[in-house]
Amino acid sequence: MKTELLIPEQIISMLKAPGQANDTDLEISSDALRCTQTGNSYEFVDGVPSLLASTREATGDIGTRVHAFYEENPFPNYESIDDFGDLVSKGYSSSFSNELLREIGSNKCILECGCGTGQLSHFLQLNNNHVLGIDMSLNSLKLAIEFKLNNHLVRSGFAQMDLFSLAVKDESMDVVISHGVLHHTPDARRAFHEIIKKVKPGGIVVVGLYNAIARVPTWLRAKAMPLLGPNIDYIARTRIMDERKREIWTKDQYFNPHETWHSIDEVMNWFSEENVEYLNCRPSIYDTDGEGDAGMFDKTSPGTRYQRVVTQLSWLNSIAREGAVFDVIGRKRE
Amino acid sequence: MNILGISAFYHDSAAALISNGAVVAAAQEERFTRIKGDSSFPSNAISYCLDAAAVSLNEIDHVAYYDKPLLTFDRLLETYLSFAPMGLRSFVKSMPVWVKSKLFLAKETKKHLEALGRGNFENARLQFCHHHHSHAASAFYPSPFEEAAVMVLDGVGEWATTSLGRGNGPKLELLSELRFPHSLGLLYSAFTYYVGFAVNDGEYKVMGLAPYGEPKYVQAIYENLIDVKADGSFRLNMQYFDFCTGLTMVNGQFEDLLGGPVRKASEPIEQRHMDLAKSVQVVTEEVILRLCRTLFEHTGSRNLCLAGGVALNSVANGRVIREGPFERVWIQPASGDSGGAIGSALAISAITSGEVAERDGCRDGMNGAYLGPEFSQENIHQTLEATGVVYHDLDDDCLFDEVAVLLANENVVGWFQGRMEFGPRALGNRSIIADPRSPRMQRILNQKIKYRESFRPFAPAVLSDQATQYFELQVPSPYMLVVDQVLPERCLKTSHGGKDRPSINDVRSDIPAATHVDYSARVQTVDGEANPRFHKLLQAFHTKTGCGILINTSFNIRDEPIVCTPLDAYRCFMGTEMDILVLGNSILYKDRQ
Repeated sequence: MKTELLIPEQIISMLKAPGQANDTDLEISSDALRCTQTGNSYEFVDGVPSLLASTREATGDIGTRVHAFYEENPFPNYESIDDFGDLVSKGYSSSFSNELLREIGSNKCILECGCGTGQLSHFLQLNNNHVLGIDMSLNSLKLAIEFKLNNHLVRSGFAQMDLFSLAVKDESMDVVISHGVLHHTPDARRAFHEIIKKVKPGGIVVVGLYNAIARVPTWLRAKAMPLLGPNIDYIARTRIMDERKREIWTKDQYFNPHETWHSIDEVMNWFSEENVEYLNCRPSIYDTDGEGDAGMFDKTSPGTRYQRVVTQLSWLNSIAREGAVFDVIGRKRE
Repeated sequence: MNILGISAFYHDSAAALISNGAVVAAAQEERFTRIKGDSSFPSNAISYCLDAAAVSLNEIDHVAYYDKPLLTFDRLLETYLSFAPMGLRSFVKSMPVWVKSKLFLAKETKKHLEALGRGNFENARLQFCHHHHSHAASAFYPSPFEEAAVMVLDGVGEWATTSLGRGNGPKLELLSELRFPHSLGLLYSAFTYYVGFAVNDGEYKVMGLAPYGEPKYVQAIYENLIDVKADGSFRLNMQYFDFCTGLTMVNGQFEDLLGGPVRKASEPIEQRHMDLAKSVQVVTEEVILRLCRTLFEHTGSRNLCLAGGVALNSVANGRVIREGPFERVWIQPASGDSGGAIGSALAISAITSGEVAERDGCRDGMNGAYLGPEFSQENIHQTLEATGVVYHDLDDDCLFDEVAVLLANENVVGWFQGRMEFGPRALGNRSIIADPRSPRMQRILNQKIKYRESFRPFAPAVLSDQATQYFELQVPSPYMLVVDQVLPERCLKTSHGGKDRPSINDVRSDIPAATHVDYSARVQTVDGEANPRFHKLLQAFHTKTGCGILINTSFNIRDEPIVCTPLDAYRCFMGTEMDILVLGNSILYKDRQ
């Protein structure tokens, strides 16, 4: 295993030791990352670069339980994706990741917070982008790195980090994405505060969360599932061929130890508190210019509160059956 | 006299412009709209053709449409009636589209043409050509032969599925035909569907899969599915097929006969599927060879012209050339329906004015298939400046040598030059090229650039005067339409340890990335006249490495049309792991972006 490939150089220069000041640097060796200022060494765990603070702020019971859950169930895993060609085909055929890559464009640096087994990170390193995927689950990251090395992908890198103590320099990333992750943390609002720090002024943040209205049917199905079995879920029933993948999807959706639900207005409030300009929402808000030709990163109107309520009600009939994650996209003001 | 040929509304729409019997321009609509196999009215392609010839609609003497919609309608109606009430669903689904776009074709065509804002058009100038006559014309008139036998094989035209004919000077006549539903093309498509690929698009994959298989099902096919006579005529047993009445190709009886259900795209490809592919390939080749012998006896001609979708089966073409009775064979590079645009225009030209291009017995009238748009260096610069990309220009003295060195170092190069090719193949102007000697290259290209099934090998482009040093091929193959064997002395038969055949990862020859598991290759021969720049690059690579071959694969990723503009090329370059992009004389390095 060639360690210089584990994290691309461009990404190394954006890392710092956890809890250290923004002007500290890390260097990588065959089995560890080392802080050039303090000399502290962060050894790889099972071949995975790990940047956890030694005096780690306790994330409490929730953090521990969620972490343990994803160690046991790496998500979304690689069943039915044999090689990079398969992954790219899947990425292009998904309207979300396809549009995301198109809007990001080329030659950017991207941070994916909660990358899981790394599919989206791998996909976004197309267009000559560099991507850092971080997660707490070592077992997920191991799969991400294994795929990276097997397919000789040179512009994606992975490291274990705590969302609440990111070992990434502030204002270093062109794009920060957290798709379907913050709602599994003990405090989604504070997690957002942490990740938005890493966006360059003028950079983009994409935050995907469970929707408070659209998630209700899933909650109801979770109550009924012990009785009726996993096939009451649309995705498990129609889209997933593989048994293990179905089990992982069902566990992630219905037996997650912790989740919180959010609304468009709530995220818009976070944006204004953090000096982030609202750009667009996916799925788009009903009867606004965010529908139609406007790209995900185009400045559009968020509509009225009424339009947003109607939109979220309509999601009961769309995204409710595929996990109920909605994404709000913003630009950090200069 | 200017004639505009149009192929539209089935699959792969296209337009072509013929001036005084010679092909001036031709392009497929998909390249402009970026929708693969786009079947809508080819407005963009027509605009391009008018531009290329610098004429307005008013100066177009005839507009030739590549089939007779009433005849096709007649076939559909009769087919539905003879099977009714089965097939009602498909009838209900297809009729409104038919009535609107096809029966009122004259009206539709006028509407679309005048919407271009390029002048006026009267319906009187619209001519319809028989579908197979269009194909036959596209094979005969641009061929280098003054007289020739002509064979057209495809899925289905109006009624005809197989046509045999003869051409002489401006005269082209079809002598006999086989009719729907008895179709070699549809038999192949049925197997394409059955082994889990898309019909009209996945037939290449079946051909590429065949060398991995054994012809285990040939007997079953002859005994049950197709009855082939000694003269090559045949009948399909419609008990097993569903394309007359349903929206699928085969039915349950077909599945029972071949021992399993249709493979879903998400299911793995197994040995059985490879055996099926091999079997239908063998049957197809046999039928074509028999038809060739019959045609030879009837016409007495020593020359053969081929067209129709089945003529893109380069493995069968190789056998026709090697084993068939004809001395010389010419195959239309755009043999599918897009080529109907060229054919219909050439046919109308010959019929209305007797005007056909002169033939010297040596070069053909397709201009190397380089009939599409080209972009000036200034235009390329504008595109690159707008994207903010880092690039520089190299003059010709340095360019070819620099690219040759990069290729020899296992870099994958996007090569964008001159006029876009017409037809399904990239022939060195919209190509991705790489070093065929690298044992890793097939895998790299399939997985990191083309994003496609790893079983598919790549085609070698070889300096025409060196072809016989590498391949058994004895004739030129400028359009990459002929498969032949790699010379035995270049093959490494021992590398697969006792197995019958090498597996995909075995090094099979000294040009492994261009050698299929059965040691065959789909060869493109390149000469300095048809494509001087590609020829120079091959020469530079030969000087550098001693190898006069490059891998040539089309400049696109899976499920996308081949690139047309510099911007398409730049996007494709950035969206893949390609290392270098060359646009005319501008060169871009991925790692310097």
